[in-house]
Amino acid sequence: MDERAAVAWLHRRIGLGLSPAELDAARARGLTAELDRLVHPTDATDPWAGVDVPTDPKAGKAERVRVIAAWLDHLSTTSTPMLDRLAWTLHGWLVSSMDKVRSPAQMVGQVQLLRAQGTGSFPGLLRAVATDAAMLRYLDGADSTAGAPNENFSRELLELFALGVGNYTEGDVQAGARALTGWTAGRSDTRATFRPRRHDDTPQQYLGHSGIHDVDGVIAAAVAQPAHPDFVARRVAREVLGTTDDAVVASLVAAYEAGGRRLDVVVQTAARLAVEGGTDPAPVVLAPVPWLAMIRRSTGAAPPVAAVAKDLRAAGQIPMFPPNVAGWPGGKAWFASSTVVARADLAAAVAGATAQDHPTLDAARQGDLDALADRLGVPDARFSDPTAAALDAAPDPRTRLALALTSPEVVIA
Amino acid sequence: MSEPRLPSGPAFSRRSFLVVTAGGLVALALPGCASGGSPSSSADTAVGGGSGTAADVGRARALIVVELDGGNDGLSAVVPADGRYRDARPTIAVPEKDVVALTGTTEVGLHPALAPLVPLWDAGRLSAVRGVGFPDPDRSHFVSMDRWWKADRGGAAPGWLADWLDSAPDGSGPLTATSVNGSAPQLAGSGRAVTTLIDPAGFDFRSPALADGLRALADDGTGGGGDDLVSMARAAMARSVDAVADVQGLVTAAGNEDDLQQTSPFTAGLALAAEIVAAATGPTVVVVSGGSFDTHSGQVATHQRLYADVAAGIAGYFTRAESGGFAERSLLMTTSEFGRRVAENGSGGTDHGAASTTFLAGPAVAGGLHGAIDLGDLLDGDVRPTMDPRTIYTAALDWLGADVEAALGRRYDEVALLQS
Repeated sequence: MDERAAVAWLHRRIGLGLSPAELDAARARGLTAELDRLVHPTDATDPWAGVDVPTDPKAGKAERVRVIAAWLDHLSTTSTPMLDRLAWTLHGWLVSSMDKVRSPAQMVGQVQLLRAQGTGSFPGLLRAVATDAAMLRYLDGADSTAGAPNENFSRELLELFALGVGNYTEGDVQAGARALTGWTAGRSDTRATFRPRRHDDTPQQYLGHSGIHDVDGVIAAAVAQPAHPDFVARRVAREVLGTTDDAVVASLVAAYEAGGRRLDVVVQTAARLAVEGGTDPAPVVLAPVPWLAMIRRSTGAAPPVAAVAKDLRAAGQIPMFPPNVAGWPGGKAWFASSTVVARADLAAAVAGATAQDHPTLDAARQGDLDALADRLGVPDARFSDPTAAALDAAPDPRTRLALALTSPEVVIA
Repeated sequence: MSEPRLPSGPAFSRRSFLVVTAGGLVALALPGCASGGSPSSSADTAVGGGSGTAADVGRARALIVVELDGGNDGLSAVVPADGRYRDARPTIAVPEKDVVALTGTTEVGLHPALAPLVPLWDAGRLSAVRGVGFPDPDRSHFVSMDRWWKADRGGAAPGWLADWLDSAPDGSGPLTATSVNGSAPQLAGSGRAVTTLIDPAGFDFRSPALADGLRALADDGTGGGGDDLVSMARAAMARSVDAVADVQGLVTAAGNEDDLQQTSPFTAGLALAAEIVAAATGPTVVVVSGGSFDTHSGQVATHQRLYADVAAGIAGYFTRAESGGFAERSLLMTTSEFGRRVAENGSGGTDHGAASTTFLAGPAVAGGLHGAIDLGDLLDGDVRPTMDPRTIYTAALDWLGADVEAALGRRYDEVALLQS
């Protein structure tokens, strides 16, 4: 990858795209400085600053849309793109859904936690998520008591969050459930409470350790398993590099262990491997939400939120509404027909909302396809022949822009 | 190969494809002519001696798979008249007075929200199969779903319907295999495309220019078929433009388009499935999924809502099928990755379990209750599996005239779930 291409690649894989002006500035700084800047975010602003976020689980659709729209706006304009991309990834990893949680404030609280601690210790984040109000509601810890422990969180902590299937027993799931009892949150509480009378303090045999009796012990035992670093490394390798090649995973395991068990360090290591030629990254299909954030950024457009919400539903990805505890299925699942059609509709909404004098629309108007590809962050700044033929044939500049935004070169990073 | 149970059907070779109508059996699209000819042009190849009209002959059978995501509690759907059930569920058992009696059995009754299914039961067109689960169950959603999708063949095995799809003729275009509300891994691994509607609401282009433009983007001059992501993206564009054209006019009840989420996935999905089958000119599989049935808490209210939606969807499908004349072509089955723990937890719910209950519906089913469970002989607190899910699949593949052994390794036909 040459340096110009690498800067664009980085921002699509570990960031959220760039505006034309930002892309020029990033290239002027150079790859090394740009990567350094990406992975050392400063001045993180809260997506919901100044937004009225209801705690009421019975909040209406308009209030929910407002809360989601604030996040989408933030993802499209953030000055800390790696931090926000990571938080987005974590939202599909340490999953809760407003479908069950109901209270918008609880969901916002969880995303704020992912933003605040996503770049810190990952075991620390797991510990915080374990007693996060939204998580206690989503995976039923809130209703779990000493007399009748609920296994939901205990199981998914091991299967989906920290270790992966095959690295624990049913006995571990049940022992963990007992040790995790006592933490609860009401339907509109934004903070969890520990109620000792609901807690089973009996020492448990858990993941090969004895005497585990509380949430701290559960998380510590889980992350002490040999399978944990490999599980984390594989997840990051797949997300950032599109591969789970053994050598790549081994490098990321080493980075995780040496770097204080921080995801941002692993992400940074993965990105360096790719841009410095240590590995050849495989293409990845951008999920609808990060893709939308990127095309908004490269066009400066903010299409009407009602249309966006409808199209994202059709695309299969509404923020804060993951389909189940495993998050969104990625990759080829995004070639679903409804996603393809919804992407075209979203692209048309973005193209329609792009300012007349925006340089990206100007490139579409001039029919300068190399410039258009570059403005849209396509690393080698050119469209393939089939795409170029289709764009040449577009009836008007905004349709040309919409089709460019929907093209494989933009959807696949 | 043992002979599949089909109405008056002759034995057929591994790769033959069968169209079966109420009146007879037609073999068509043998390997040498799999891509040739429209189904209707093959009417004169009828070998079954049936009385089906040419119009019937052109319209093959449909399988509707209704996937209950999250692990459905078989004991709440088909409630055992067993004190041990009530003892294990002191706060969330379906009240005895609310259980819907089923003709012909005193062993079980239906959840009250499933009452719309009673007319199908009374007509002998609904069966409930109990104790369904793999013999060595796993309580992970994702491990268990994978086993169901791949008929327990593991690893990179294709879905259990992939082989059927590979052998299906091009009869009904992009809607030969359709997935509604999800991605249908049951069909994954086929060389043929599946039309996947993650959410059928709003499945339309904002402007005709977009459809034209997408068709142009899809054309890379190779005719498609590449297995890299870019080729797949272009193929998906072509398929989606076709699917929009086909689905237009079929969507009669996409349902609550204005909500942030689909709130009646089964009613809306099965209404769409009905229109797809009504319009189909070839064999058809539609997978409709929804949930979540993962009732770790609040089980009573969740079941009330979801079962009402499932029952309205299934009953609505067959009402539409009767009036549209395609009931005879329809077989519907429910699936779910596992059942739930017999004893309730402290959250008004149940944790992951083992065996569950499956419904089969349609004129071809052997109606009534199949399979047995024993609440006095549990497996780690769960309903012990007594019926391999591949028994259901054997019936479904027979129905489609597909090669059971190719898909499942062998036939699982100890219990006859279809009429012989």
